[in-house]
Amino acid sequence: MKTFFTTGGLFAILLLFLGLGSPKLKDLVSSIEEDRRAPARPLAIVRRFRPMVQIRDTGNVEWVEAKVAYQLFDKDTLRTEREGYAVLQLIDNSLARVRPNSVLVIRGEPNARNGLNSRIQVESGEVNLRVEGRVSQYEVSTPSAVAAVKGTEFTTRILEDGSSEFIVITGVVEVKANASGRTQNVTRRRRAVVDPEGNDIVTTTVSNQEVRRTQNEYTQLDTSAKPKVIRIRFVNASGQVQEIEVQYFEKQPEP
Amino acid sequence: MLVILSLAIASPALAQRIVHTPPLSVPSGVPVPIEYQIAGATGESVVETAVFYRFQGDVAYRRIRATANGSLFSASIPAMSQNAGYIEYYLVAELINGGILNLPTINPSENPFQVNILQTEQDGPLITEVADIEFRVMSPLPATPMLEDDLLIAIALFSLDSLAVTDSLRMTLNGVDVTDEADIGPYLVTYAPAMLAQGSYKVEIFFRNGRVITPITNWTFTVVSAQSQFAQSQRRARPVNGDVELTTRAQSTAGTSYDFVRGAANLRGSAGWLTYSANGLLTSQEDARLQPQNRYGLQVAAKHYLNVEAGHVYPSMNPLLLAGRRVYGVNATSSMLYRLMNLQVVYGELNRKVPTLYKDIAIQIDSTDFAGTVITDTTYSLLFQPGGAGTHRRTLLASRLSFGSGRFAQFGINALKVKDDIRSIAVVDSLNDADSAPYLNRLSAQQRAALLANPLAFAVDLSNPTPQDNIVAGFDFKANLHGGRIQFATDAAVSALNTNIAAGPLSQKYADDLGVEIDADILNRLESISWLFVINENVSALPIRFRNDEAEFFIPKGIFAYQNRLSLNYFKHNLSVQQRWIGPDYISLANNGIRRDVAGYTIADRFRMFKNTLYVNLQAEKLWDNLAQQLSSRTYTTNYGVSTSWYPVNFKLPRVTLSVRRQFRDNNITPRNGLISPALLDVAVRHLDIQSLSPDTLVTTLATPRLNKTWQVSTGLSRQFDVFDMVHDVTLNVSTISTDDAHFRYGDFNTRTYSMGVQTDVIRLPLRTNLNLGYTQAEAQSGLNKLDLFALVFGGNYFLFEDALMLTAEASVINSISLTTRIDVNDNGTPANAFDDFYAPVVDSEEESRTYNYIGSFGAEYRFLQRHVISTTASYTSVQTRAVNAVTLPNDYFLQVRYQFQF
Repeated sequence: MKTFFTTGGLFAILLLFLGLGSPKLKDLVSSIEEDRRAPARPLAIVRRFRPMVQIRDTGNVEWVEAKVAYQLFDKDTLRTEREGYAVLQLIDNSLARVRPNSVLVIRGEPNARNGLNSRIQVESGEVNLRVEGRVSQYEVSTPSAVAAVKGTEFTTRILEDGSSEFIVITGVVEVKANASGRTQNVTRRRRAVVDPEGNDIVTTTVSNQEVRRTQNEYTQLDTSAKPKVIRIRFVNASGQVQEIEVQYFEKQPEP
Repeated sequence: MLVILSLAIASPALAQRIVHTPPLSVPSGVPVPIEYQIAGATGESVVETAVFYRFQGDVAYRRIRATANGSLFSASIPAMSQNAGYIEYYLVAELINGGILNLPTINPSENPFQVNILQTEQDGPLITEVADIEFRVMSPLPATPMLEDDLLIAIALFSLDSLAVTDSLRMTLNGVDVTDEADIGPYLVTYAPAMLAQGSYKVEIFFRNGRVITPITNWTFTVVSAQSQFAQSQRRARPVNGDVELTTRAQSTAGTSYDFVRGAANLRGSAGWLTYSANGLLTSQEDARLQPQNRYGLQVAAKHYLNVEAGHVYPSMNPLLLAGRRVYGVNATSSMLYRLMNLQVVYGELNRKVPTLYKDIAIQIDSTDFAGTVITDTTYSLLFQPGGAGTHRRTLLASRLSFGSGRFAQFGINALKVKDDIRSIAVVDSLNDADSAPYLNRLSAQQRAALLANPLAFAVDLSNPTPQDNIVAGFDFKANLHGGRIQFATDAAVSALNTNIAAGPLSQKYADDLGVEIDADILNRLESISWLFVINENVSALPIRFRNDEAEFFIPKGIFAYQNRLSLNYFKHNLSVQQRWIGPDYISLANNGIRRDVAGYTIADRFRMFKNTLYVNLQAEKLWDNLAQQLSSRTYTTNYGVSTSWYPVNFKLPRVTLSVRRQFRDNNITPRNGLISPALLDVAVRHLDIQSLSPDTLVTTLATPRLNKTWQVSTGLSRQFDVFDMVHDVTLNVSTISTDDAHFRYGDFNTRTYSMGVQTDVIRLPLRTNLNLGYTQAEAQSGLNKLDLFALVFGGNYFLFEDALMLTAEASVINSISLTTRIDVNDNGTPANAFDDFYAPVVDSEEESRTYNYIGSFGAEYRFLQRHVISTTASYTSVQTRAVNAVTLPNDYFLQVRYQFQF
């Protein structure tokens, strides 16, 4: 128990050091309240999608169909159905590509550098995040881990057994297991798997082949998210012509 | 009304046609750009094409010739000074085959396109003001073409604070005000036009208050057809894609060299249903004395119907049997009946043969003076050369037949056989082996005769490899219910292992040697099934036991293994229950990562609170061993753990992690030893059960008593600060592990670790720095061993040429001080009696050792021509050790250059 209390004391000191108990706390709370009163700032837009993709705004219980340029705000939830796929463009031009059968919640706020301090909560499925530049700070959280990112591309996937998998395509991602607090820097072409309980992080090398396969899959999904067009022309007896367009998405073959 | 329906994309008559989208409106006083495409025709196949236009009130059309750029044609209708309300125009193209195309196609001069002209302010000249408004163009990016099926114009604004200003925000596209169609907000402006013709466009974003215009930005982009983009990508397409990597490394650690040159390549491509890939790795580390270092493989797949991998493959099936072990061979999977039936077959080599390398027979003569008589004992030893112990070639044959796609449920039957090839290498076990002849021949005739006369004097290396045989069978089942919220999985298997099949199945001769009488029919059956599994006295768990001198058949339960897992995901809770039972004799030679002789259950729940910012994990686990009661005691291990993490989304708040774990290990053995004083009981070497059976005394050695209790606590905090235009991420961690042993004085262990890290991003410079400080204090064996370790690391990354070049530098100092007192066995003054020995510190054995490591490293990574990366890393470590009898270690160095190319 001596160890426990020693650690507890240190913990309290650290809390003070980091400002939770400092006189600045009042200012901090005030700034948060100010942010709450300000008009909501969009964090991202739906850049492209293929049905079925639905969005639930903060505070609403209804799901609405996504459309191009649909704006997402703090705490909005997006889900893709079995055939669904969505590309979100964040306001710093980073891209989040959401694979079928995924659910995510977007959180965050613009920062003073015209970037974003954002967290993307992956509830299920898989998200590929490509962060542009160094003005933003991103975290991707799963039920068992949090990955902190600065200027990189990586994929987050929740596996069938509840483990969280992070595959880094470029750059560096710091993965933290929720339960144990263990952290691991995961570099390019490395995979980190955090167990469902959020205790252990196991890293392995990802072959170039697998990286390419993942990228190709996203490229195919991108292509499939652009609707095909059929133009139907009507001509009446007097020769008047009217042409209408019908947009449709091709059914994706089973993976 | 007769309606004629034609599909434009299907009708051959419409193979060539004009494609054009008229603008919704045009501004007055400026030229009107008209762009269109002639589908199915290039500029060379068009003799002439023109735009016929007229302004409101004009009787006749005027003609303006269009210019070609591929299949794209453009013309500009001159600005009209008069006050017209609209403009009318139509398009005509004459083809080289004599055909005429019009748009509108039916009587175009009577049905022209009509576009409204928007009047500009008439109250006077416009006034332009300058404002510093921060923005970011989101789509389309400047100088990036936009596909006509992917239209979106978007811009993010950062310095607007009032909704009121949005009323004056304007967006124009090629001068046409599209504000009404756009979604204008204080922070984001988006416009998703339903259609835009191919051509170049200019977007302008500005405020307009009366005659005052405040520009924000403008940029141009080009709309291209998806077909042309696809055609371009097809032209660029290659039958295969891939990458090549070359690495050379010079490394020395503690005086041992690890230099190598390595090349790796991966190729991948597809053709219709087929996908194929190949990979290879060649390294200078390849050595016939090691398992393969060079790796290569091929893969061909026809959708999900068939997948064949050959070369070095890493198959998986039931995890109790095979889970990603490298195999040099073939792994083929086939799915049939809409994936309801699947077959997987694996065949290949788990280990390649590595021949044994023996030294010459060594002759050792020992003489003993026994009561005045000198007795001479001669031993002939056949020992291995350094690294000469060989390895049998080991083959694997495995298959899995499963039913169900796995989406809802899947049941699989698995079987596996692993066998060593006895004849793959020469192993000398006795003088009778033919392989012993070369070594015998190198003895002198006298020595050889002496040895043959006394074969028991021949000794072989104890590390002689023994060929093994292993069969495993099992099943697996998994089910996903209620959309995956309920998941259940079970794996079960049974194994048999023969640890030495060199002599083949049990023979009559060996049975005679053992004094066992075995029916000839049984021996014949053993011989007949030896292709499947060799049964002899070396089977790890024989299904025969003796009771009252009679043999009886039984099923040894230690050869079984199973595990079950159920997880429920409801109400933001993820509850899982896992149960396992892995027998001590369960062995799959294709999966040596399984912990054996363990059973127990684990219950875990994890849930999230406060909008997913607080994570809580609870876990309880109880495990025990000695499942087949082969040991004298059973050890129970109990774990309880709670961990919480708070990750607020607001980056101004600190992130906090706290984890507490408690572990108990108890084998229910009470320390007792009546031969030593009670004060020394907790340092006794042996624990004894002494029974007085007059006139004798029965002394039984007990298992080592064990009662460990461990606290493990760790906390971590991180917070971000913005200071001096720099972003600092500060992380602090404290963790402790404290283990007490209630039965052994020197079984305690305590360690405390403190660490701090600061990562700084300099916003106005492409610079990122890292500073890490760490201090570890460890103490074990009641203070007899102590260690203090301090580490300081400072480094940074500097980015150049738009992040194409990254320079990395780092300097580290790692100092450690250790204080060690040795423990030895004290014979308690009775050297002849080992039962009263106890552990005690060796007097004056305390040693202090100080080690100082200074490490400097430098690296650079340069990305060029989009697909090429060259990187280099160099580091040098100065090692200084100050201690009595310290071994002077050479300094370490590391130099690596790597080149990568993707194509």
